[in-house]
Amino acid sequence: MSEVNLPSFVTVVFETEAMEDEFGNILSEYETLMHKVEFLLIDKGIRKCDVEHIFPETLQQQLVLLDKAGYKYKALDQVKHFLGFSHYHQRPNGLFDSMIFGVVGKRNEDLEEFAKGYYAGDHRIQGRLLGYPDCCINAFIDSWSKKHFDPIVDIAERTGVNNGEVRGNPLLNVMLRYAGVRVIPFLPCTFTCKNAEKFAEHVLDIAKRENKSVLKKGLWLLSQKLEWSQVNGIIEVKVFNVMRIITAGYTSEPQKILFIPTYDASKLV
Amino acid sequence: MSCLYCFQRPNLKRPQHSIIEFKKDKVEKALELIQQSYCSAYNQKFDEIVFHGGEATIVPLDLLEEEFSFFKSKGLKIGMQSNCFAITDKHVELFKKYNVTVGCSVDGFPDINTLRGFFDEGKEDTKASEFYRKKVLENIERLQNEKILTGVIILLHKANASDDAKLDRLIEFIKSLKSIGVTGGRLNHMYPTYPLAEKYALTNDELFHALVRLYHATKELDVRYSPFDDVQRALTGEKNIICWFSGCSYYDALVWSITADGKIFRCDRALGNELPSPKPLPHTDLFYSQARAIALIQTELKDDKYAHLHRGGCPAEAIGGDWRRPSAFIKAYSKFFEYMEQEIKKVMPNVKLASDYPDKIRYIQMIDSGRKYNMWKGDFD
Repeated sequence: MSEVNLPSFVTVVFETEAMEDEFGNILSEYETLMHKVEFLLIDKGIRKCDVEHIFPETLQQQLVLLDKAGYKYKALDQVKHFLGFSHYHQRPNGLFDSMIFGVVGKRNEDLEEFAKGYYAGDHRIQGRLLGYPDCCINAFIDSWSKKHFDPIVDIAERTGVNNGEVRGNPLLNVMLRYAGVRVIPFLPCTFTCKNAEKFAEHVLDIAKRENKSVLKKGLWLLSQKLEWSQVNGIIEVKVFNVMRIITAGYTSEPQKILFIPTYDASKLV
Repeated sequence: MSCLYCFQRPNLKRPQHSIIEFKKDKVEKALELIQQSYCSAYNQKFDEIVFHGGEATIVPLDLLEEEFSFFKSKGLKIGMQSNCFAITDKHVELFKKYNVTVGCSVDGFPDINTLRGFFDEGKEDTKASEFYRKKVLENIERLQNEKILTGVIILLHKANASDDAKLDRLIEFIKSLKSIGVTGGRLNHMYPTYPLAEKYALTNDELFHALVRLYHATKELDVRYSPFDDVQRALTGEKNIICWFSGCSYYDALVWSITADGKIFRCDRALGNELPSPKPLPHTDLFYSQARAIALIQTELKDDKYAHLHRGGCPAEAIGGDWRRPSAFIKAYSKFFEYMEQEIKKVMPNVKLASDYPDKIRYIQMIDSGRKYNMWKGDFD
């Protein structure tokens, strides 16, 4: 099996016109909602930091917005520009195709600690400051060390796979994150992890207050049966009867998992 | 009428249209959207639409005229791909009135055109089929005489290209077409989209053998058939070649299909595999990044010298039905690229063909960005 290097991209294709009408705009609205919620998690003390990509052309506006909201920002790196989703940062060819990657928080010491962790390549320090559960950080470190950059199969195997199927909590469904739909901003150790579920509950508490209707639709999407597969380094997620998400993968190893959510999370809202 | 190998098979899930309705306002909107996407992708406007089916000549004549008139008023050239069976005097009048050009789908003389005809769940109405096979030849001649015919599309399959005897007949057919003035068209391989049709598809060895024989025959007859020109152009570094060598992204294909009620779908080849889904507009990064071709070059086609030239072939006919894999016929085409490379080098031994370019991914990125490959220096200008 060999590594595959593709330019980052995300393409979403809806199964029917009706589904496109229903969810076409929801994806970006949901992503915007979660972006805001992730910052609010800092305010609530659930986490100390969040990470943020800033475009050089809007650097000043974005920094002013963060400052007005009471956040501090520390730039850490200049990375290759991507739209939608990328498994890891790539080196830019120059300013024209770059973004500034940095950390956001309320306290300078948290930003400094995160920076130390980032430059040392210490995922544990970074993960803890971002509020991620230790069990999920450990699982991520294990997968990452094996160069499993999108370790869906690892998560499924830890959860328990039966005939290619895995059952899990829709709140921990991270297979739609390429299109911006997710509850937890990290990869869980299993699709049934109690600590990750607790984090998800904090997210829901805040998101409900921000935009209930968008949240409900996003949760409905996360509660649909889906097939995640990687073939020749291209990932395709088939959310049955709704949409397909296609994005860059990382390995020539064929992988396939059928995810069956155990309940309808939209009923939580 | 049907083809035994057609991807529009019985039981294929399709939108149900009991009445054909031409929704002019919606089609107009669809055209505008496509024009915007086309302009942003290619810096020019598209100027041609092609009616295809099913079978476009079964559309009631008054409706067909309304559609021709509409597209003509939009300044578009109109083409039609037809089985040329049900063409009447009225059709010919309409074609002439609106300058419609017609391509005919036919697989040879009646004795080798046996997969096209009247079939009901595989059982043939022999009399009706014989009538069709005779009629289509008459109509080809008529459309040619009226200067309406642009060429023929011949599908290569077990009934017309699997051995030398059949190929002899097919070559005779191409010769007979030339004798009435038809000097070109396409030789497409047939690909099955359902198990019952698999027995009609050529093997890679058969297809390669057919391509070589037909290449030499068409060269000798001085007629121009795809994919021979396309393979030569690809080898010499040209960008504009047939879609299945151009890096199709399946969901975001190179062509758009519009239904009579204004819905936009992707290429009709891809629609044979599953329920039609809306095509994303404008083109997405899946299309622009050439992700499928670049992925294949690093994986299943990493040892294929010609992978950057055929880009894995048509994803609708991919191995195992998974669009991320190469065409099931890519072995035949890779071998044919090699054959044509040798043919070109016989007459131009000093050129450095695009197949010699060392970095296949860079080649795709450079040629897609509009750079010209110079085969005299073996690099981009």
